[in-house]
Amino acid sequence: MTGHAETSVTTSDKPAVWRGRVWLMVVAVIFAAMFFLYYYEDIRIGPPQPVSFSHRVHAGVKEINCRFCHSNVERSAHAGLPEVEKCFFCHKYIIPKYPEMQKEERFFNTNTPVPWVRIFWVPDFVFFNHIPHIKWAGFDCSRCHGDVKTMDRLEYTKFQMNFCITCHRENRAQVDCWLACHR
Amino acid sequence: MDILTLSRRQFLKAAGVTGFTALLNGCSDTTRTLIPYLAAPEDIIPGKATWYATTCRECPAGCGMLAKNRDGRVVKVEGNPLHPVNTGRLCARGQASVQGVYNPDRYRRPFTRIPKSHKLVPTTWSEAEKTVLAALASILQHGRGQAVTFLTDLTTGSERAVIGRFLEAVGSDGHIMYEPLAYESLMRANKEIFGIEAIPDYRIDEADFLISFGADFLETWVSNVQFARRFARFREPGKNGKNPFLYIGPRLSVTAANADHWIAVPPDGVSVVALGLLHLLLDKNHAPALDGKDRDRLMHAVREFTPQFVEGRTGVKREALDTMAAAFMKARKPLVLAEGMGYQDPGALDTAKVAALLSSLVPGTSEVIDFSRVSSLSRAVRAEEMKRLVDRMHSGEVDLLFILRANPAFHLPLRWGFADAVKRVRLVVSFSSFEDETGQMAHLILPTHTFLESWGDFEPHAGVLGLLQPVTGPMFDTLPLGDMLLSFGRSLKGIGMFPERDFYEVLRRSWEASDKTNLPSPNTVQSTWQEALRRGGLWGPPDEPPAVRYRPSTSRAKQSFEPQPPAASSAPRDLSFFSYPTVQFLDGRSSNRPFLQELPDPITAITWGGWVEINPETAGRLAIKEGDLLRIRSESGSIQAPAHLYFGIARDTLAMPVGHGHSAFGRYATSEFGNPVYLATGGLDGAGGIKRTLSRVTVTRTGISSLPVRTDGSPYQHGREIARAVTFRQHVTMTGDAPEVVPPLAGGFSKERDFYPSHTHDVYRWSMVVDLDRCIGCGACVVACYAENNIAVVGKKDVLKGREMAWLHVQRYFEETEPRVRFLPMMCQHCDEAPCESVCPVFAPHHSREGINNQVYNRCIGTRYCSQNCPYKVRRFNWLTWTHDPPLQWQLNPDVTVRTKGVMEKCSFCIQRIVEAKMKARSENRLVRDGEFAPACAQTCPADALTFGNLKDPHSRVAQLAGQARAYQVLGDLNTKPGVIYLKRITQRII
Repeated sequence: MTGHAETSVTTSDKPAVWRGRVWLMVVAVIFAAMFFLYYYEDIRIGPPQPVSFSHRVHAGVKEINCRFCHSNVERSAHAGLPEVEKCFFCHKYIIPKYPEMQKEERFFNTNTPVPWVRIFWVPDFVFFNHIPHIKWAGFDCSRCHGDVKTMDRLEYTKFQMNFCITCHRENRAQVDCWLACHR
Repeated sequence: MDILTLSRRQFLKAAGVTGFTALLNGCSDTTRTLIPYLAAPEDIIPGKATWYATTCRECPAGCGMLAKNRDGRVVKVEGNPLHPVNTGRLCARGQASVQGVYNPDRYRRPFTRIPKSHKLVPTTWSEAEKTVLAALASILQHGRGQAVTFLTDLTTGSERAVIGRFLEAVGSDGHIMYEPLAYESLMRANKEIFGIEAIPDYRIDEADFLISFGADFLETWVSNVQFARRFARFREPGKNGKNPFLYIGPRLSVTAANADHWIAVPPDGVSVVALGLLHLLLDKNHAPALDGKDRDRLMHAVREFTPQFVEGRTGVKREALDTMAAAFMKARKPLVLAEGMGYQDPGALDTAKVAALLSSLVPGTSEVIDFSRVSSLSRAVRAEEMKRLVDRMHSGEVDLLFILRANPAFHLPLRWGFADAVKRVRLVVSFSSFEDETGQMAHLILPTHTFLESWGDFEPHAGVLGLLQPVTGPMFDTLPLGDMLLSFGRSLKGIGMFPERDFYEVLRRSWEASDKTNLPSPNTVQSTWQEALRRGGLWGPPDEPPAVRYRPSTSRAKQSFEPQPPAASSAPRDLSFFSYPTVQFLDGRSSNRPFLQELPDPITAITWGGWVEINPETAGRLAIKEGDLLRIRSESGSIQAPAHLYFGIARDTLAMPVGHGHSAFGRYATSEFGNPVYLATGGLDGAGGIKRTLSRVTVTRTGISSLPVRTDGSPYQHGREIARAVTFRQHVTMTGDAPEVVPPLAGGFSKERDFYPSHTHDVYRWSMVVDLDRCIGCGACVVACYAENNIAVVGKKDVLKGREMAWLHVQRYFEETEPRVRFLPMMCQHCDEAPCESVCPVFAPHHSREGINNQVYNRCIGTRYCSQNCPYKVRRFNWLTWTHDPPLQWQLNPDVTVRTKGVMEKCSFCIQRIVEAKMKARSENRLVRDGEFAPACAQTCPADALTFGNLKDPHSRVAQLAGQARAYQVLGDLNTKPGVIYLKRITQRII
């Protein structure tokens, strides 16, 4: 009686545990897939931009100087973004019918600035300034921004304090809290 | 059930994956976007400030202003160093002017009022214009052009011209420029004594003796920044002392606090003392500029005002009067100022006449009163014209009333019945930017740009033409006044009379027409205009001698000068009442600026809301305690205000600041504590001004206690010698002595005294020197600091809990034995041996290599040990995340972190400016030059009390000043070695 009861329990138990595991795996797979598809893509190749602009084509293939678009890099804390109009300095003549260009043109014609997704930033209590790094230290942009010439979309770079301070120490730059970055 | 069979490990794994994903997405910064320009503007580099020169229009003084535009919006204003009025400085009101642009209570679009419900509903510009034009058409049809009245504050130049042209087209000459502070008595007196009905330019700095009869020229009187600048020069210690300055009035005001002596008299005693002084001087035959006959005639007019009479009426002793007269007689260019509008002086006209006469006694004085540069305030109407307007409105003679910036409903006595009269006007159009008491009665609200968004010009006084240019784009759906009037005019009279496209064209044309260079080339016109734009206006060299010298006319002096002694009050225990304009709010027009509400009153240290001052002795007699809510009644009305016991008020007198008690002026200004003008009887004085002082009011306690929110811990120093002073004699004898300063440098280190090793400074050791002898206590630095450093405004409730965030306080200490005041600007002392640094568990306060005490916000965990250990109590803790009512957040300085809850903060010596100056120096391959930049407080100080620089450089100004014998460090005996070094105040007695 007891034996029968035991077998009946085990037979009915095993599939229950097994079913639980399957359920868990399904959930995990779904999460993993979502993570890979939605989030990891941003990490892997950078987030999609409203207009799929390729740094690889512009900076790499066409060898356009970074300063042509980011023209304030030696004049201001911010390197600056090209004004929407600037794209059409060239693209009025180069592939003007390309769908992405037409998208860009729609932005321009409707007086809507393109809402570019920001890739590089530091927290609000850090006051980074391009001038000392580019103009005085003479660093190449890729030193912090990575090899943008090979990237279509730009990848995120996490600028943690360690990233800054290591380089500041190596180069005997200002490491004072306020005189350097914080205010 | 199934899920419960998961093992703990499995559960954690699953939770980990979900949690991690959620976490990543929660922190995802993909929401951050970068917004480019569509087309790049020429003069703006994102991340770099652009400065535009314009003119401050917060009061009629018309100071030159430089406005800082960051990424398209104005974030800070500073004085224009080239401008002759303020030479680079601004007062508290000027510093807060940006909050006018971003004020949350601004009208954001045109509104029309529904007649029945009295509610405002949005309308369109074209609809609004139709309404106005329909009203104008019907008026013109009936030939009632004179029934159109245009009421503005003081306006000059192109704006005034456009208003004039518009009214001309309508057939009216009803442009009334109303200023609540119109100086009627002063102008009348100047007309009678000098023959010119105007407010001249008083060159205080060139005088050698100054008496003020209630003229608060360091706070509000005529042009306060200009006078503060001149006063600082006037008071520079010379060989024999500082030029003497006496203040006679019923209240120990900021100006009185800066005098050698405040001679306290009841309000009706001011003119008596003035007349007594004149009597005494004539009696001593001290009138070199008058001939014998006129002297006798004058003597006859003031014969009653003998020293005995003066003493009997005012309590001013004969010796005091004698010393005053003696000092006057010693002076070569004595200058006497009178308030001249009756706020604190019922005999304002007599006092003003005496002041003018006293200034005529000595020929030298004519060099310091310049009638070639009369103030434009002289063109504002007398209050009696407003009375006439109200009467005309009452009798239905006004059909259409345009109101620009003026707020008569707040400023005129209730008895005149402006509110009733306005109901008889068919259409009331308000062009003002904010809802106010007058705007509430308007049928149509057509908001104009604020002055920082507008083109325009303003002439503060003859010979100075200030230009206004937009320093930011319009925030809301508002229009320039000129554009509206041109459009109205074109619709009425066609393009022939109004050919200009917009107001900008009117302005350009008028400037081109007035171009004095007389060169026909169009390029010249362009360059003159551009030069004016760059410099902020046009003016001659500042130090020309007066072109129009008044002649102390002997014939005029006798005319109509029949001063009558004020009636002796029958019941000596009656309470008299007066009000005074304040350095924060002027006449109440700046009350809706949160910075100014949070700024403690320089004398009483009260923030947020009105109060009534009463002498402690009188209060004791009436059993009134601090904070008792009083009901003050006059024959025409009653108001409420909490009592503040203040010994700097004559006995049996109540005093109340003007500017509080708005019933409608936005969320910051509205308070239930009344408006003192509502007590006025409505009578006019001899010069056509409102009688503002009351000889008899009654006071009752309501039984409610409403403590004024004060930021001072105590009125006194309790013997701690925080703010120190020396007499002039001591100052002379100790010259050359070593100061009581332990320099916050390596040289200040001693093994016996110091526990921690000394700090090393490479090139710079930033330091500030505060000259207490120059500080006038006005509070401009405090507001500049708020605006520069994103300091939060916390509001009344939290100030009461001691949570105000001001990095810089102007502390006010009274002397315990006599009514003298010492002001002490107190900010982080940037100690070399900083007590805060050694107690922080996370090293958030950090000592920089340039001597600055850094507070690293992102390190701070909010233990508040540092604040506990700071002997100066200058550290401010964020008890809450303070918010900025939108769109006030647009005013925030992008170069400074906005702090959040749980973080300690304090003065940084404007580190962002230091970094900027060093960047500039580095790009020019040099060191920072002394005086090249200044923190916001030092930049704006009208008296040059604050000096900032590198203490390590022995040639810098700070090093020089810190070596003076007067130098000391506050609480220096604690061996904190502060980097802020004070210079002792120099006091002198002449009575």
